Amino acid sequence: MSGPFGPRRPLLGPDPAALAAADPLYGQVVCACEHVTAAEINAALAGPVAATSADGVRKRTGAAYGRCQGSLCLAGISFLTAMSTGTGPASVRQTARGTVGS
Amino acid sequence: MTAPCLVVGAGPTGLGCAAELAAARPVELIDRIPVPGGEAGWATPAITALADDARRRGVRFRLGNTALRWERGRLLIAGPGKIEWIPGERLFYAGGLRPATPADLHITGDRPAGVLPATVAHHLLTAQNRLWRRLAVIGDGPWAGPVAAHARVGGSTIIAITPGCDPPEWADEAITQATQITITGRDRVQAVRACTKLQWTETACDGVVLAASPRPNRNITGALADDSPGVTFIQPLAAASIIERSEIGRSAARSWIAANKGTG
Repeated sequence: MSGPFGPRRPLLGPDPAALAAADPLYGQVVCACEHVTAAEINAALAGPVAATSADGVRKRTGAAYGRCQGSLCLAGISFLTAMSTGTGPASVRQTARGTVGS
Repeated sequence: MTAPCLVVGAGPTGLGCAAELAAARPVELIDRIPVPGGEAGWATPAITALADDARRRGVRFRLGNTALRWERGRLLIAGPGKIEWIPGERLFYAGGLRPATPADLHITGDRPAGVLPATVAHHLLTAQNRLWRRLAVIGDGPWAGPVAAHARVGGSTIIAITPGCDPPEWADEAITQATQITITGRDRVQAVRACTKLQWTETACDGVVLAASPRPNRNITGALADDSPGVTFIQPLAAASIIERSEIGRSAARSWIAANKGTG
């Protein structure tokens, strides 16, 4: 669970209650299956090699890789991705080149 | 002080369960979104009535919190700005249903954009987004009809791919005998190929919605398996009305109270 850069899923680490003080968005769980929060997703969308698609967020954070495969969270992930890339619900990229709507 | 009973999921089932438990125990009702109702919607009169009833009976609402981990009489919940452990005597999980995934359905082929779980498609379509011209809807679960209706309002033609069902009334075209489904498309989805009696037929489409075979949604670590200690799961698979689902929640609560009299 823990790597050289800290726990893979901060919420699964030893002191989850302390995370909210670092960033209130750690309390905003987007992917409930894999326990991935808006803080981690925003970090993936803003990092040095920023994600530009929902799949990019998935590969960086693990959001939507769980039991329900995005049934619950893909709307939230694509919303955050659209906000970050300046696109909309239909024009946001789901994969590297493909959009959610046509 | 007795630890409260915790109910996760403030849809019809969870609301009914929480209201009934309140006769015997302190009850806290948790849901990841900040309003009650779940998939039934927060503004439905039947939901408002159930929520009012639960409040009158003393249920404490903790909405806007996602339940994450259940272990030895405590539950980890996370809400914006606050992550905390709360004590609980027992966890009643009414987390609703989700559509089958491509893996559940043994769907093969490409993994292009434009293939969405029905719950997500429903969310996007009810927000008035026009997304697709020819939409293939796989399966006839509870989301299929509403998704098809919303897409049609946006101008989509609906192709049903519903193995083992009669052609559903919500579809313009239907493929009903397929034994294997394959998706093709490089960047966006281009077609669904269905194998019927060893013959493959290709149906062009620009969107695919997975709406088959609802199954229980589970996502709390420590409350995943049916026999997880200290957990009662209330996730009726058959689509029922709001009142019927709340009654299923009530009846689960009554059974538990009867079996645990005097231990609180």
